[in-house]
Amino acid sequence: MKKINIVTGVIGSDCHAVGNKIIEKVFSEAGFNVINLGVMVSQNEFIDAAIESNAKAILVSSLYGQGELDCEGLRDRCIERGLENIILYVGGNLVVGKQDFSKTEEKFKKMGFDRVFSSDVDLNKVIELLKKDIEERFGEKID
Amino acid sequence: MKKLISIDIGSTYTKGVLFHKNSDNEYHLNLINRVQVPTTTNHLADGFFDVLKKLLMNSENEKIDEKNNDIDIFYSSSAKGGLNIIAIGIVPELTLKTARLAALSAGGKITKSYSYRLTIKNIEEIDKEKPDIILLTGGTDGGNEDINIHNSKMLCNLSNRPVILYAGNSSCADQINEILSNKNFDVTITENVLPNIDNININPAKNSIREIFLQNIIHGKGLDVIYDKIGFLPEPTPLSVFNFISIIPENVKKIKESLLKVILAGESNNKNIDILNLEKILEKDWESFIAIDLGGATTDFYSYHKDIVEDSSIMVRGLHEPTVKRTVEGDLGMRVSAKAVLDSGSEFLKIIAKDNKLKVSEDQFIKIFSDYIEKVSKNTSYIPLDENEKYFDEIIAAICVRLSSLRHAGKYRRIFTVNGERLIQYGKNLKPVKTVIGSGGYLSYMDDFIPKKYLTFSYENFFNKSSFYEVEEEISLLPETIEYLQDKDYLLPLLANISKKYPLESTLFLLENLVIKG
Repeated sequence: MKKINIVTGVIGSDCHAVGNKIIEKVFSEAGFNVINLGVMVSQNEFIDAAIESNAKAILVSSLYGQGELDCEGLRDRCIERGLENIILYVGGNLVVGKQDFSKTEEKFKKMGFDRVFSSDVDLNKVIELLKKDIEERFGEKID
Repeated sequence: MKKLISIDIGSTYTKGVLFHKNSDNEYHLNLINRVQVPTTTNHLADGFFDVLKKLLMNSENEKIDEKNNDIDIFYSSSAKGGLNIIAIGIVPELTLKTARLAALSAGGKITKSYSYRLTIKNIEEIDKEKPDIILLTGGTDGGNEDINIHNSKMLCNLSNRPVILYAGNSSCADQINEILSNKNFDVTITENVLPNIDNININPAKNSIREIFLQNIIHGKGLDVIYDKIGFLPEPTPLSVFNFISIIPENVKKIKESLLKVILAGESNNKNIDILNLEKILEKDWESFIAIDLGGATTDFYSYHKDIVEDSSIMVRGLHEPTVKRTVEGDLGMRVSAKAVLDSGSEFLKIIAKDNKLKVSEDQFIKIFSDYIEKVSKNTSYIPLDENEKYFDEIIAAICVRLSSLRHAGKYRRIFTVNGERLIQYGKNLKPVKTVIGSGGYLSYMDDFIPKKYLTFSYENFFNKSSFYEVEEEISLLPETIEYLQDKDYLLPLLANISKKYPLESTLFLLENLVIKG
């Protein structure tokens, strides 16, 4: 069966590499074809990779607290570049300091992300949600 | 000697000037005559030739035709309020914003704009607007096609057939052309206004709009009669002004570097030049400037400013706006749009009402002011009779200037990062701009009205840290300090026409006639 492509990477000038490797491993084992762009990835690089690979989702990581700055406008760019329906997830230490997560979630959802995760989320839960979202949006089932 | 004639057919008045240019190497123009007649709306040629005749009356009554080498004629027209354009894009802050920039820099008037997918309700609205052009954009090259195709199919439901200019994703241009041409639309395809996310490309669309304007304007209204006699069609007035604004800095530089010496040397021949004033004007900062044309129906705001962000703590987001930018506010004007000012400027009005000069209560003041607005929006050539009415006009003007500058300028938003506070910049930063030209019916003729405080923004005041950290404040990037120069004789549009062929001469004449207001 053809595997579903997803794109992942750490956005901006962030070079936290460990979590990125874990995401690649866990999602590959879950049956996805993971296009991992590594660290310090720009918005355009995410979109370029997603267009070329016909990816169904972009999973953005940000660990250094500047996520808001780096992620803003990603959805708008996706739309102009033809990825209107692509699933966008973001996760990590998205803002500086102790801020209420629900506020952070709201902020990123407003930016056009479909789901927002904190840094301690269980990746199995994310995989479940991603499978569900892909099925709902694209009608493609993943076992 | 050469005679230069410039005529502007405005929506209310047809204005003209006659200059004499003594020789090829003399750059100062001599103003010989000025004429103004009401625009003959039904047959524009009547007013035009009336002005032409009156302009030449004081010299000899010459025969005008295109072969007469001694006379150079230039003319522009904004009659019937200019070119009505509907702008369509996908993302409001990306392609739609770029489409709007293109339409406005071409001198168009945007009556409505739409983003994402058009709906049947939108189509009904567009039909009611009866636009001259629909500027359809969306997607970077190779980007989104679906929405463009959806939107072009939706446009087929229109009962009218406006010209459609497609300046979106080039990958689906053929398809769009086919869909619309099959339904009898006149379609023009041009380069994408946003070929990739980081670069805007508005000139091809701007040029296409001008061509469409010229092809369409000739029909009716008597412009064909002018065309037959003069041999060419008018420029849209705002486009002509836009192009003039674009060349002023380079010409000021030329005047400063070489021409001034020539002018000074020839002073004895030319008693008409106020050298002292000219030198003062030339000392102003012309690397960047703003020009505002405040009229009865609209407020046009032009900025010439190359926005270079040197501070590394400032991150620029969104489109990189062009050096020369025009915005036009259809809801801000002294007369025709006075009623809309009441809505758009309601918050600003409340501030004024609190401390009004009539010394009446806030509510009472707003009541009296609204009555005045009612009066002038019905009688659009109304001239204030007493001090109170003059004060009301000042308030309308203040609201127009304040809101149009706020809408034109970009803003900062603060954000907190591991590296501390950072500012994100959206749009154009006008903070360093120091020179402002005030023009148009109101600003040209009201000597006492200095719009300085409505244009500037004390940035420091906003750095009141204690309250600043609490709120998610946006800071408007308006000029910090300005020097206000009045275009006292409302020469901007008339000189703009001439600047096409005589850029140095028209820049020089504009500078000579600006009045420093502090």
